[in-house]
Amino acid sequence: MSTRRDSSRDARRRAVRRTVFRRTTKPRDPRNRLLLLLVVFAMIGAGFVALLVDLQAIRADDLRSRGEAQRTSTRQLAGYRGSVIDRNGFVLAASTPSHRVVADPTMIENPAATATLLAPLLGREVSALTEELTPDSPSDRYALLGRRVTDDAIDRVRGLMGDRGTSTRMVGVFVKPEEARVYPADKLANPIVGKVDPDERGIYGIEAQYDDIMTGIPGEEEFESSRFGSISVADWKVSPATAGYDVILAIDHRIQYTAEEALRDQCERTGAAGATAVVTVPATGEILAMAGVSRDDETGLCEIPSYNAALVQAFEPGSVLKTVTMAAAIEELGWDGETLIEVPPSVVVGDKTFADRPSHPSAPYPLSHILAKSLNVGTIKVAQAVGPAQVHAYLKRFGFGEPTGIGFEGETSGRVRDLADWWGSDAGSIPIGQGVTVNATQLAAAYNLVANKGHYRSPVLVRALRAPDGTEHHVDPGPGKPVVSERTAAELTRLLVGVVEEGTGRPAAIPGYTVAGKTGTAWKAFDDGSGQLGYGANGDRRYVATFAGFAPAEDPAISIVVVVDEPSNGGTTAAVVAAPVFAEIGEYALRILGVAPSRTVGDGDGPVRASPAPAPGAGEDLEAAPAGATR
Amino acid sequence: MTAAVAERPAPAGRNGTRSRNRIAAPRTEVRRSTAPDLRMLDQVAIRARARRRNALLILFIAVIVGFFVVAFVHAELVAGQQELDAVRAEISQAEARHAEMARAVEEASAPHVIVTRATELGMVRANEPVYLVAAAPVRKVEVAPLLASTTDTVSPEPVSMVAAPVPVDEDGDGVADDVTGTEGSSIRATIGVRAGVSAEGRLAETPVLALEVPAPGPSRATSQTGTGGLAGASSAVAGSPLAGGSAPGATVAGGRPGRSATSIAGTRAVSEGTGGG
Repeated sequence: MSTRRDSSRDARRRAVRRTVFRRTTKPRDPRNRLLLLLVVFAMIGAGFVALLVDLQAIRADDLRSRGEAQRTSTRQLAGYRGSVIDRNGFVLAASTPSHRVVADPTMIENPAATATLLAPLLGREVSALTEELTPDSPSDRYALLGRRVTDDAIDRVRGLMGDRGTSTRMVGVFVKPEEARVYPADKLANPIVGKVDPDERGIYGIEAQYDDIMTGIPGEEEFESSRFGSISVADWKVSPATAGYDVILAIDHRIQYTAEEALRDQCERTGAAGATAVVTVPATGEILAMAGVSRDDETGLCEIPSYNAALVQAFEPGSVLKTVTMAAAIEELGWDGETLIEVPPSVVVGDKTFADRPSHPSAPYPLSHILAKSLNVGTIKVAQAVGPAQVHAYLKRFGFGEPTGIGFEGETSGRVRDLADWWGSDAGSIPIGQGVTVNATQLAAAYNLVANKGHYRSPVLVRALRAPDGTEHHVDPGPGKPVVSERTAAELTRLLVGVVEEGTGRPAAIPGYTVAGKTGTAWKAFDDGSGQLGYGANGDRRYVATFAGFAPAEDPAISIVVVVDEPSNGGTTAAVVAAPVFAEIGEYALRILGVAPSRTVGDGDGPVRASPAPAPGAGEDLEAAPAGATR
Repeated sequence: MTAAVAERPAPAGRNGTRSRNRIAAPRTEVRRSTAPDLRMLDQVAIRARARRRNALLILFIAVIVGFFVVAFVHAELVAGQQELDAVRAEISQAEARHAEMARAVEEASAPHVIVTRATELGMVRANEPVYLVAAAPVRKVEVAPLLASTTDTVSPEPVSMVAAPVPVDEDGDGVADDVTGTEGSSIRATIGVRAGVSAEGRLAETPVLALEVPAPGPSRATSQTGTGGLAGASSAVAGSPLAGGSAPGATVAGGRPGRSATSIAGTRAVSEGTGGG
């Protein structure tokens, strides 16, 4: 009983003790835990906010630009250079997409091995390629291995880059897109069209003259990309490329080719130093062909040079200029082809004596005969009747001594001295085409004037400019200007027809057509070793043979000027050397242009094909005329 | 009394909970066990909870499905983008190829290339052209394109209102003849001007001889074979005004034997018949 009581008492004591203990300890407050949790979360949140501020505000621009740089790709859009096209749409020069292969030599581990792989694809020698792939210095980081590489070769180069066995050798080799200038017709019309340098800048010719507007402006395409390629739904910025203007020439490539071939053949045949031809449309002044060849010093062959001889070469034209003297007489004095002029065997002007060969007695000759037979003395008598001032004025009116207006770089204006500078025998030599220099295009424009009823029109080489959108802007050469009356032009045409039908120009006849034209064989000034220019002595002359004319005479469709420089084999006169080329080019051009024959031919009826033999009365020069002789 | 004490609620603790440490008076558990702990269920709240649970479930499923949809769309987008890039690359290659082929065509059509190729094929320059001698003034006539195939035939009648040359095998010799016609008011004039085109498509090198247009008669097209005689001697030109009133007609004389007639492929000389024949 007492034991039970004791145990009960102990239990109560323990309970009391426990109660006392618990009452003395501060009870836990759950809000503290919440507070602690709140603080933790607040700190974490503050950290996030701080990070957010850092990302979105402090480093936002930097990070944005870095991100854009990582995902943005750019692609160059080619702005192709404009083409050069002939009047029929034939492309003479154009740009086309191509590739070049370049390398960073400092990245090439084994230049010889890389060169061995690339040489056959690029068509180069292994040794040369090895040398280029070997860096000269640490800064030597660019080597151009090949330009205008074919697509097939580019595919094979890329194949080497992707192949496990060769890719290590191709580290440091890159394929870059580029634009290549091509000339489909090779050297056809090269002096006119010109060339560009490796950076596609015009060097000469039309390529240089119209370089500014022909040059295209490259564009750029900027887009976002991922490892899977571009992202269409993302930003896509395009700065479109702008192609250059096309230049449409008045040239007809078929006539140009024919002219070049005819000149080349004649140059070789006659052993000439060079030859030039200009074919134009009298009514518009458009130049259908402007060809030239010159004898290459190295090869000895007549080749197409890089310069445009028809514009940059000046020469003394000789008797083709007698037409201007006759025009002055007909216009100013009211003469015509039947007007008789007393022509002595020789005439003294200043300190020189001019004579005709073959010699003839003093007799009255009609104007038509003087021009047809190209009588120097008769022409000088006509010039004396007109007066030097009028001769000079008409030379200027016909466009000599002035630029043609084509604007071609390097064009010569020729030289027609002011009247005050005429001295000595100039009043005798200039009316017959000596002592004055012209270029072939000026001569063509002058004969166009006659063919165009006395109206002068500037020669037109560029017909139109075509914008990238296809709009054509035609080049307006201006209205032209009347120089002589229609009557004078018609009378001159009649006289020039007489030259071809009865005079020195017979070899220029074109079957089926009435040709009007004039020969000119001028002495050429040269340095004979004395250090001064002179015309040489008898037996040591150099000549420039020229024929200028148009056809059909009754409704001129074309005019042609042919100049042969220093012919030496088989004759030196214009009738033998230049007139047949005129006929050859003219016959083809008339047929190509669809000009119907205007007269009866065949079976002895009408003019016959020109023969290379010199016409009667032609091919002889006036050796007694020291100031120059022409025919 | 005991019951009253038992029913009195225990004093609440500091937080409103009953203190487990308090030494309570002995309880009578009988009454408590007999009083069931019942409470009223809020059916509205239960349904609301159920709706929320369902909504959350649907949302969860939707999110999961959405993830899959996004993944699918992204995969499709990537695939489409790659396809687009491939097409772009093909376009670039095709454009480059087009430019290359255009250049090849231009190079092949360059005059010196054509001449070289023609020489290789044994071609030679054409002979001197053959010209017609018309008794009357001539005018230029536009040329109609020749038939692509010489096996095609065209009826020579009626001759067109305009002077368009048409190759017709008028005399059945297998060589297409060139028939040209003009017509003004009630007059019809037809003048054969060329030998024609052979079966091989080349111009036959046969002479063109004189064609004499007879006196007024029935209107009919004529042609000339160039083989030495007239095709259809009865061919006639109606209307004397063509031939200058009472004149019988115009005369066309032609080229020389053995010469090609290629020169008139570009223009045609047609008598307007103002002169006599």
